[in-house]
Amino acid sequence: MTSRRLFLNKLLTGVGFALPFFGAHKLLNGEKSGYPVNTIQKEPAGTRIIRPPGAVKEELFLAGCIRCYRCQDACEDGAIQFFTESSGRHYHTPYIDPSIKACTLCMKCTKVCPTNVLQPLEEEDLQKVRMGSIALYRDRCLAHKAKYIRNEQRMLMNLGRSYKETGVIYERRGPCGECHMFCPVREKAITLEPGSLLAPVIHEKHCVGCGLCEEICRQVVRGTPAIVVVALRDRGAL
Amino acid sequence: MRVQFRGIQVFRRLVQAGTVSIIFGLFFLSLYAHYRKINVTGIFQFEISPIMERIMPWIEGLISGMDNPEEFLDNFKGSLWSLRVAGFDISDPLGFVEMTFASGTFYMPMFISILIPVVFTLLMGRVFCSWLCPGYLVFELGSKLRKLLRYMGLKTEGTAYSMSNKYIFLVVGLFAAFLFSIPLFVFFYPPAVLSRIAHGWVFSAAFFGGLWVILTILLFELFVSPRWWCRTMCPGGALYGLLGMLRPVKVETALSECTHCGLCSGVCEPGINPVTDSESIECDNCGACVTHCPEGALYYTIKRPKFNKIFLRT
Ligand code: SF4
Ligand code: SF4
Ligand code: SF4
Ligand code: SF4
Repeated sequence: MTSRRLFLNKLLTGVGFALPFFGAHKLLNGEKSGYPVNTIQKEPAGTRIIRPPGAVKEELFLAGCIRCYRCQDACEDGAIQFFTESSGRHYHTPYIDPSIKACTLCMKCTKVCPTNVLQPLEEEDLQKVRMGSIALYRDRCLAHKAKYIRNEQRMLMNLGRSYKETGVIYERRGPCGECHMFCPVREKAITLEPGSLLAPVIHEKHCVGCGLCEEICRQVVRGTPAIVVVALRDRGAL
Repeated sequence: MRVQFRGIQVFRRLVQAGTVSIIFGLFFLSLYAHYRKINVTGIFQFEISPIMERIMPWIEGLISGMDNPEEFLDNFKGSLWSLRVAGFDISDPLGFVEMTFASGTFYMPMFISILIPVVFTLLMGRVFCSWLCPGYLVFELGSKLRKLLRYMGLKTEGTAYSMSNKYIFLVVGLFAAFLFSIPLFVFFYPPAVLSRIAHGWVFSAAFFGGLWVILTILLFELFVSPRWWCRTMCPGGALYGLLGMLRPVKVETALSECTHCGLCSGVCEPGINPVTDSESIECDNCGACVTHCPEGALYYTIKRPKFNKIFLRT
């Protein structure tokens, strides 16, 4: 056999080995439109998957990201972290953990990504970003606790107790509203309840998921933050 | 035309050292950009690593005269897998091919970013491997170590596997990427792995997962099969080889001067016989044979491709 035929033979053997797998894959998954869907849907334990701004859908993200670390180079705020081996197929992909550092939406990472899995955005496109959504735990929020205690105090005073008796401070509380101050889409994603205690009200559909509120809340309450970003399981493109 | 000079290996080592310093240079520039931003905002406390402390004055000197240092720093990002130098994006063709297969999308800017390496490879063959790849450098040092071990009397195997394995590996890997819609070569392609290890070291990320890949290959090459990865396994090398199949720049032998001493086969990095097979797909134009031939019978030249010489029976 000539060398070229031997070579072609080996190449075809390789293709032949791969074809049955390909066929099985197509059969098992049916004819789905769009991108092929991986069957493993578990997220690494205890991790919120918050991708940098402009990230495409999760399945396409895992397929398209070439794990080049350019987004981490570009993120001068140090917001972008990378998954390690223990995260399985998420290994070497970028995420943002607001409990370490929140994203300031400078959009630099979206401009360096070579593969378009972070789609290029300008800083003005801020409101298109959907990295995650927001949840508020009123029992941990200083302002909401203060409001609750104030109402209780008023009730007890109406029942005839003295001001001194009812004003026992048993937890950190007080007017706050820091999350509202730091939110880049404030008055949309976070508004303040009327009244002087600056208690936040959240509006999930406007939240861009940057985590700046969580970052500052962590410092204000000095512990588990009252306002946290939750991952969106299936982001749309942008 | 007959290009032949003895210093070509020294020149190649300089180019390899240059690549390594460019990789580290890009990382340090990126890290410096981080420090700069933190310094400007002044909110957070940070510690500067000892190596960065030494390098920072240089970078500060470099950017001190600029009107817009921030824009300058934005234009230097990435590593050998995919980088941006002076605003130009350059990516590894393997990365592009794999991303295209895995995601099923074609992204024009990334295609444009692989054009420079592709054109280079079409003309010069697999020179990325022998002149630029840090993995090649590491494994070359490994083969030097192997020689030392043998000299010291250690028994090592000299198994040679089929060189066409890597093309099969490339095809199967791309199919797998397509099936599972996840890129797989990125986890063990040495230039990408070494870039990430260096990145982890510069950014103090303690992120050395890829080290096991490199160590395994190195040990296998030390004790079982010399230059196993580059010769028989590397999917990137396979892709570059296929691209550079019809290269005009190649090594040739003046048969009248050759004494058939066999020295060149011993030093050839891809492990072929330069006298007969230098026009084949496996030669990566490293030039080791050109330097080592005692008769000066080997030289670089520019020639039309000969189709019957491209594929090897190995
Ligand atoms: S937008 Fe800016 S701060 Fe946010 S992840 Fe990207 S680079 Fe980092
Ligand atoms: S820059 Fe893009 S391709 Fe590179 S690691 Fe980040 S998300 Fe992935
Ligand atoms: S920063 Fe935290 S404690 Fe303060 S108002 Fe917002 S959620 Fe409440
Ligand atoms: S509510 Fe929080 S996470 Fe959402 S946009 Fe505002 S600051 Fe960012």
